[in-house]
Amino acid sequence: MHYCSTTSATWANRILANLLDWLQPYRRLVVVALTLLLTLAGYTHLVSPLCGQDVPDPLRGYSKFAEIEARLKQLESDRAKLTSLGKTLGERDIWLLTMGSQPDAQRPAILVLGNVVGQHVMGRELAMRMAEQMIKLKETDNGIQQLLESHTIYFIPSPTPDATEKNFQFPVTGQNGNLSPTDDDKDFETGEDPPSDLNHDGWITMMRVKHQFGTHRSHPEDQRVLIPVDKSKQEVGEYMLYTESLDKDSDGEFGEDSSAGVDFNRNFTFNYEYFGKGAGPHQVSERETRAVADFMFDHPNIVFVLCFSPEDNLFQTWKGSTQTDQQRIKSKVLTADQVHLDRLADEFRKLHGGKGLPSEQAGQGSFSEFSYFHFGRWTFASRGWWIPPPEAKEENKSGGGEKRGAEELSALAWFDSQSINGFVPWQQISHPDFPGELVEVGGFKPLMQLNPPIALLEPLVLPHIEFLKKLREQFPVLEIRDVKAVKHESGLMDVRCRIVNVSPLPSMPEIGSVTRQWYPAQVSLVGAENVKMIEGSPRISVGRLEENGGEKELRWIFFSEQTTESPFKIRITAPTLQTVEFEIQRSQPEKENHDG
Amino acid sequence: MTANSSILTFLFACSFVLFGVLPDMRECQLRAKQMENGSNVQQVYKSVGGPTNPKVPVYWNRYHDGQQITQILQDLSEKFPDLLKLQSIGKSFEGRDLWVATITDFKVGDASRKPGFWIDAGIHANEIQADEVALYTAWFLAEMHAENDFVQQLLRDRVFYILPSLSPDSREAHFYRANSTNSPRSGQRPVDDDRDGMVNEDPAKDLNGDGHITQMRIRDPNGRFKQHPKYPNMMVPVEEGEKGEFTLLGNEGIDADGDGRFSDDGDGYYDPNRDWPWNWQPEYVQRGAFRYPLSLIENRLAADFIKSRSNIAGAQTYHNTGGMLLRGPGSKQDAYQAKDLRVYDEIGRVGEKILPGYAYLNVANDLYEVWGGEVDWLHQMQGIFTFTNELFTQYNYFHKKDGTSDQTHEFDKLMLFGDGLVPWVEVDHPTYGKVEVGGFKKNWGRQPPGFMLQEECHRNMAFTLYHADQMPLVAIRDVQTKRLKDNLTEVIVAVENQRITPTHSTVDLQQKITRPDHVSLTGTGFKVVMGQYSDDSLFRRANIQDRKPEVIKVPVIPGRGIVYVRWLVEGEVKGQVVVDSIKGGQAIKLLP
Repeated sequence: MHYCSTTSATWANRILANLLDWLQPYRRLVVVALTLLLTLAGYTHLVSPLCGQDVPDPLRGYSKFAEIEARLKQLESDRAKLTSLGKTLGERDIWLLTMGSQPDAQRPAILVLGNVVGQHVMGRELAMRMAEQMIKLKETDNGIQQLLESHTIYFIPSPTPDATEKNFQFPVTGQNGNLSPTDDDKDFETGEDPPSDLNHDGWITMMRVKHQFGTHRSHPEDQRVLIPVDKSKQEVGEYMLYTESLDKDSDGEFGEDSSAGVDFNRNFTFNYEYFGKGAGPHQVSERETRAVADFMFDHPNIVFVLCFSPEDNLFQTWKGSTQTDQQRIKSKVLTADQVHLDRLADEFRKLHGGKGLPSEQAGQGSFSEFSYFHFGRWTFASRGWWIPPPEAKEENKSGGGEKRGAEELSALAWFDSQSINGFVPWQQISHPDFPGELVEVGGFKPLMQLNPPIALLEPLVLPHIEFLKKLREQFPVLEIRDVKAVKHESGLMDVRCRIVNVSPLPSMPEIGSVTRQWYPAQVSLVGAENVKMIEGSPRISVGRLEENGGEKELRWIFFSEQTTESPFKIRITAPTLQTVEFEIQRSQPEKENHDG
Repeated sequence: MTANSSILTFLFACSFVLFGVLPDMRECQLRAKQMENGSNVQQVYKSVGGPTNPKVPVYWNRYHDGQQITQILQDLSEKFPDLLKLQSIGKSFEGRDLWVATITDFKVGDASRKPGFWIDAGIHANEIQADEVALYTAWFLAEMHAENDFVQQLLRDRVFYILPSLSPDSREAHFYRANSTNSPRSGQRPVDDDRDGMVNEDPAKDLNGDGHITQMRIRDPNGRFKQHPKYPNMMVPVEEGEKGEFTLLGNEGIDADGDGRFSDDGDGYYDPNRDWPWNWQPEYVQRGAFRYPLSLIENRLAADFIKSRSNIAGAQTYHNTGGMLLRGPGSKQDAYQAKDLRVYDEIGRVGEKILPGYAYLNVANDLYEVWGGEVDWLHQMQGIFTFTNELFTQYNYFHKKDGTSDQTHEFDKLMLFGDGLVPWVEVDHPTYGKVEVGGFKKNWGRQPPGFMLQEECHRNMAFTLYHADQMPLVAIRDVQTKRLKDNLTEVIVAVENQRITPTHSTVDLQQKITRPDHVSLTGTGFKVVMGQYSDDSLFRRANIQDRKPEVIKVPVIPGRGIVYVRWLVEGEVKGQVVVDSIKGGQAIKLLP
């Protein structure tokens, strides 16, 4: 962080100095122009154009944190409440926007998280635009209106704001870590060997060094792309490949410790990587992860979780098996849940329309897997956008069917088709650590493969909103059916009913009942709190009910020493359910009482 | 002569008779003064192994509540400002201070650079004698310093960090609310255990109002239990075919929230000792796990304190019960490194001697599996050699390894004279009607009776001080210089670790938790051209260090081991050799 800001400042200063040299002959003119500019725009606006732009190319049109904050504040209303879940080390708030007709009530809810990975800035922008669009459409769009009327949507558009902001700074590296100091190479020094922008282009790319027995070689179809050598084919490499950097701590490693911080998406409890790079000192060690995890545990009314992350489970759905179902420590999606997650993912894919998603596995300690495996909720992770794969791949003859580097080639082709300057051509530099050797800097610019040009983002907003509207139809709904209440002459009451789940989803995911993080439905016989119960209890807990008619029969037998005329009521409550009541008349004993 | 002085004269005479010696006048006056004050606190005949006349008098046959613990610690810090400094590392969930006493000889050396020993206690608040052992240790070290060489040496070389009450809210609850010897194990942060939307709404219920949560039984001609023929308080199952008198109904309690279950949502519930990061698993795998590791504020504060003091090389976390000297790992899938185990084995065996009836065991294989225990975090993530003593064992009753099932009742009858039990008494129960409640009092079962408490404190402290004394301690055994050529000198240093524990545990080395030990050649006017270290005095297997060879980074100095460092130096070699080990302390020696 500190490194980035200082380097970009010196870089800016250098340009400023060059500019001043060049402008020397026109000094008077320059003074006038500068005065004018300063008056018009103020110093801050003067500096940014000198950098060429105020945000890196791939993020042009994306809001920085301050703008996100301003946009959130504009959304505040009686149906959209803005609260802070805490502050990061960088003093940025982790904002929560609660949307619904009763934002303070714990009603059945959907939680939407923006980017859980710093570099995936589009996740934040998309979550923001979803919130803005839903506020705009809340009066006119029936589905949104209904959703906000009876449910709550929690938006945490920027769960890891410090990490995200790093990606707006020069030189652009592509960063996921927050501002916690880390010793990335575990040498007991912190941040002593960060990457360096050796060619002063504002990007941290790669550095290749010509080497007789290198680890990489050029792709046969495109010299720009490097592929690792295949030792089984007796291939010999041409290059050693490093991050664009100096070996500042002279340990033979290049740019390996920038004190990169802790990665939000590697800091959660499921499958946590102890001592892993970016994983933090332990699970949920960071202000950001703690704020989000605590918010979730404090809100058992959350039914669905949608987050944005490079790893996706909507196009590449999670797979479990009846064998993995038996594990004591669950590590694969439970098959009972997979059926429903697959069905909903299928709906999503129809709405989204994308194809050929590049494969990306959730890393250890990821948010989405925590949300499913430990928080026990229906969880969806959307990548949102990716570079579309080339049309109908004909087997390339020239490259001899080279599979290595295919993604890079398709990225380069796509950049060309869109006139995007996404690759820094290899350029020779002199490098103090490799005197007399051929060293070139170049490669893919960071961020470009994760974040689309802003124009391509807008069309993704509605499909994601449509998906939330689809989810509205999936919330568990329990009904009280076939109520029979008999009062015997002796005063003995016999009440029975069936509790039926009429939703297309089970009343809770199987993982919710396994983890016990999902609150069971409470069925109360209101008015019977102080009667003498023979069978049943005034309140009965009802666990998981299957979808489309899963049911449980309940029965109460008790003495009713009638002192009041107020009726008994059967009432179902749970944080994930709308409250339902059914009234039983006491005044009509010995008559069976049915609902409609 | 007044009446008072005649009594004094009489007492003087008595003392002459009693001791059969002629006491000097000063002693006599002192004694007379004590008696006048009605005080017998001063020790006139020193019993060995403890301070003669402590500046902070404490009865170690009593249990202390949070306020008393705070008072004792504050008094100690006031009376021993050069030995004990008290700090609050933060507040518990209910706002009580978490006290840590830092104990060392502050007049010698830099306290933060001495090898440190961490002691915490009472993470399970119902295990109340744990806090007493920790508190006794703080008291003993401060009070005994002036009159004991071992304690002086210990506090000169080491620093102790003692947190006597890691769950102070629940200690208060145990002392002042109805509980059993088993409760509350949880802290007081409210949790909706039965996930019904109401919190702590169905706790245990003290039906007979005696402050103890005991057992309930109901008369039942077909019951499966009867009274023990000798000890009527004890319930025993009947033989097959035999008729019983009672059915047991479990702990004293009612169904306060009307959900058909008894006392299903009381204090907590979570287990603070399932809240630590190493091998943490959620509640469905490990009952008692809270939200995520260190999600409990008390633990997080303690962990932050420990993490910020990398000089801590040994630790003890006191629990009860069962007479065990436990080490990790807690999970059967986990294993400690063989080299580390040898350190535990050696210290543990001495412990078995110091603590008769205690067994040195491993949590996962000898006790039960624990995911996310504190001990595991201390060893596997902080690299600290840690024991958990499970205080008190039934061996203490009659000093027998295999006691009978009725020995607790027998002990109660013969030595407590019935003070440990509540006799059965009839009460009205809202669900069952007439029931009887009775059984073990909350202050009996897991805790020693008063007359055994001090011994328990002392023996466990003695073990822990032994463990602390075995933390690594570096020394420079030998420095030799030899002129190889006109302008080239060889310097060889032998660095020794005098104790059982290595300067880095194996896991510390593997995970790079603590920086290597530094052996430096300091001074001016010379240039180090080569530096290396070896475990061999002849350097037949040696590691050369090219970067900054004047500060050799030695990964570890093994327990009772020696590491050799060799430099080749150009110029006039003058200066000193400095050894700086995070967990093993420092040593300096001038070049010859």
